[in-house]
Amino acid sequence: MIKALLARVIGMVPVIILVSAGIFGLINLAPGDAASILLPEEATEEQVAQVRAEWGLDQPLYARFATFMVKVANFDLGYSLRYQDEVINLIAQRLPATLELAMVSLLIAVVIGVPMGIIAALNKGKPADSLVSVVAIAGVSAPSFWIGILLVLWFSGTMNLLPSSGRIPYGLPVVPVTGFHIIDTLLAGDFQSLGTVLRHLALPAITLAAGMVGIIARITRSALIDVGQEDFIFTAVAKGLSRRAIVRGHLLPNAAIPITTIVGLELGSLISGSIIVEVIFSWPGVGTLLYQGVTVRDTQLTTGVVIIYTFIFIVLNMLIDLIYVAVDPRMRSAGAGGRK
Amino acid sequence: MITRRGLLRSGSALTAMALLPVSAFSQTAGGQRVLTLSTTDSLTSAHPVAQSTPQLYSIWSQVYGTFTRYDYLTKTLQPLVAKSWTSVAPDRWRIELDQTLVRHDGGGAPTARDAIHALTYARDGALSQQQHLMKDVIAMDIVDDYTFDMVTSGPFALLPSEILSRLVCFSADLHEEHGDAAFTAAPYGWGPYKLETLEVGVQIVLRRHDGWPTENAGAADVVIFRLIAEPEQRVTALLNNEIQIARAIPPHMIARLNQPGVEVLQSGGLEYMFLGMNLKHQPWDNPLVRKAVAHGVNRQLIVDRILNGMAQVMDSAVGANQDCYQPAAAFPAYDPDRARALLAEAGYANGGPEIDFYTASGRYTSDRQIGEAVAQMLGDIGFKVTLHAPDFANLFQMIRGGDCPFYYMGRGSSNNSLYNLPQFFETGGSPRINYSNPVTDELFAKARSEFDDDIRCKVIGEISEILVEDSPALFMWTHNLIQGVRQNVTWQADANGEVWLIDVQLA
Repeated sequence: MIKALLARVIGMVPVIILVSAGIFGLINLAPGDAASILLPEEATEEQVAQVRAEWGLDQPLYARFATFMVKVANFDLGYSLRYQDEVINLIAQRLPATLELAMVSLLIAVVIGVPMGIIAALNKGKPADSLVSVVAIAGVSAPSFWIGILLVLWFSGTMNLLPSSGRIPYGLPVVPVTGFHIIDTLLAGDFQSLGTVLRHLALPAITLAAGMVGIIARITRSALIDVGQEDFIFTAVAKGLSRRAIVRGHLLPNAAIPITTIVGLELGSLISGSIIVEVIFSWPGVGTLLYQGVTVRDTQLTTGVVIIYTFIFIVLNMLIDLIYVAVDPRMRSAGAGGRK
Repeated sequence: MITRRGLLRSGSALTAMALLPVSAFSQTAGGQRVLTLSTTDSLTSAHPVAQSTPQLYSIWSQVYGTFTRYDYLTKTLQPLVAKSWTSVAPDRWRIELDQTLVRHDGGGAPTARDAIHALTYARDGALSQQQHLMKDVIAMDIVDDYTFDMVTSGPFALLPSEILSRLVCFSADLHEEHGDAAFTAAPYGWGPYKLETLEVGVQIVLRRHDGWPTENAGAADVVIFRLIAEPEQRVTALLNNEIQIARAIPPHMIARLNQPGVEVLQSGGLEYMFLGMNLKHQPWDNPLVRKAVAHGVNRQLIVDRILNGMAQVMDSAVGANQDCYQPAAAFPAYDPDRARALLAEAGYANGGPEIDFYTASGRYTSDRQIGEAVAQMLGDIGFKVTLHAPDFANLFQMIRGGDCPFYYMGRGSSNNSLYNLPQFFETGGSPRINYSNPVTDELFAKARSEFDDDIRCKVIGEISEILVEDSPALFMWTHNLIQGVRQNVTWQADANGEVWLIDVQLA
């Protein structure tokens, strides 16, 4: 197991190099660069050229990429031309907001999606199954920007119940300990601030979770139906076990692997896919940072953010592998056998 | 120990919180008067010269203090860090600083050393994006502790508004002590508001400077500029009282603001939209073809139908809200028959020239739709138009390099037309239009060096007449600026659209 994990860690290096090269190259394929975009329209061609030279943008692409990768090897993601700050600082300031949003979205999706899948599986072919299918397909099909704006119009515009944007209002006494406002307010025992934090999280988290609910419900349904065809389930029924006992004791544990896989993969997608939702809700996360970086061809900022996304994705995959071992006894025994 | 009762109590408290209306949370700063405004420009950095966007110019002007401030309502230049400015020779301005000002940290008034340090940094600093503003300044001399001279390469009548109202003064001592970190570690200036926090790309929080000499009891104690990129979001946040001033409202959203407690403010804007025809590219080197475009586009119809009437059609090369505006006598009227005749005279009787027309998509109000309407109108008079709508970064790169033959864009967030007209229409100004005319070149030079406002405006009027006649561009309209404001806020919106915070009254 440790060998396999080490192999994954080593395998991370070429993946990050390839992803970085792809992003670096793509940004630079587009016309224009940070100097021409960031300088004011009044700036002359000579002034743009001067700034381009100062920022090193006049160097060949391969030279800039090589310089950047040397920095990355030293755990330095470069310097943002737009924000005039170290990329790693910018990401560090914003990553907690993105992770908190993704985790809450995941929680919402699991809490809603898994029961929906169970209901659909247990009522296969019945109206409840069809209803779950319709809701799942609607959630997956509706684009997040549309759901987001609709929720804003209803819950903020019409009902005035939830804030339309931002993470916390000015003056809210949240003492940053972890950067995760939910945890920080809980640590401080400040439930009033926790309520405000949750209110700000509600709309973006629901928007982000909407697509995932459908996927989790569908995967849960099909996993449960597959497991339901296994002999040991018929044995359990023949032994006279209650329906609840069969679901909790046999169906769900055996269906856990595909559900875990999809939840893990979707968490990665939630983190990297939150860009649109963050922009819509003015959420101060890494997604908005990436969006702002791309619009001004801030190559190091954009590549730096993508490297972090890639890293998170790979780590999540490794975690999923570990969870497999925890939930599937066959994998534990295979691992033990491997060590002999 | 967590008990079931405890959990239920916490859950109930959270539910109760969730059911409170949003406005209950909109001003949570312990009895302070908080004003929250939306911004659309990215709040990039605390560095006051490492930026070049109108909103950040305005914010840093109110924190560090620009030397002067242009008041768009009275159309006059007001003192700020500078108490007075005098032309002591055609190429020399003398600036006296206000010794009564107190720095945010209790430090002394701005000195000539501070001023020259800040201006030199704007010109030479590695991070400066405002170097272009200082291009005509060749020297700066200290006269006494609170007075300095700026020497220009030639007569520069508009230096007080072009340079002094844009560039900020900051402390030489603090900057030398901290380096560029001074703008986060010791961001103390002399403006009416001081920087409290900056969350890059999210919000800037300012707090009123107690040492500011002008009294306004109703001004906000705390001001928050929040980046809200989506117009739908800005409108909703305003209706919820999450923000009190929502700026840059698109015309089609005005109807949503017709609600109690909210007011819509409209003012004519400075930025003018135009169709640029680059004379380096055929057929735009032919004045008849250019004139055909000028007669062939029904600007009023576009304003009425696409812009919901929220723009002012131009009748001059100078916008109606800019200084020295006067209608041009020869502005081409919409006349498609005349346009067809001009094309025929230019040799296109059997079908107009094939042209590529570029418009940005999402940069200006309804730009894509306007591009489609213009393309259709030009098609009606005989042009064979291919419309392109790249993203603005790509488009502007083409325009700036002189590679874009024909395009729709906006220009001029300045009261002074001499700030940007020469860039497009003076020989060597830029490759964006490649227009060259010795007569207008001479007039531009004359206008720049003319210290008498009336005479300068007359010269600008002559330039406008020539540009309208030669039509290297068709001047289209200036958009109205539309702002949504809560009724407890008294603010007079002007052509600039920025908010001079100390003048805003909160009820």
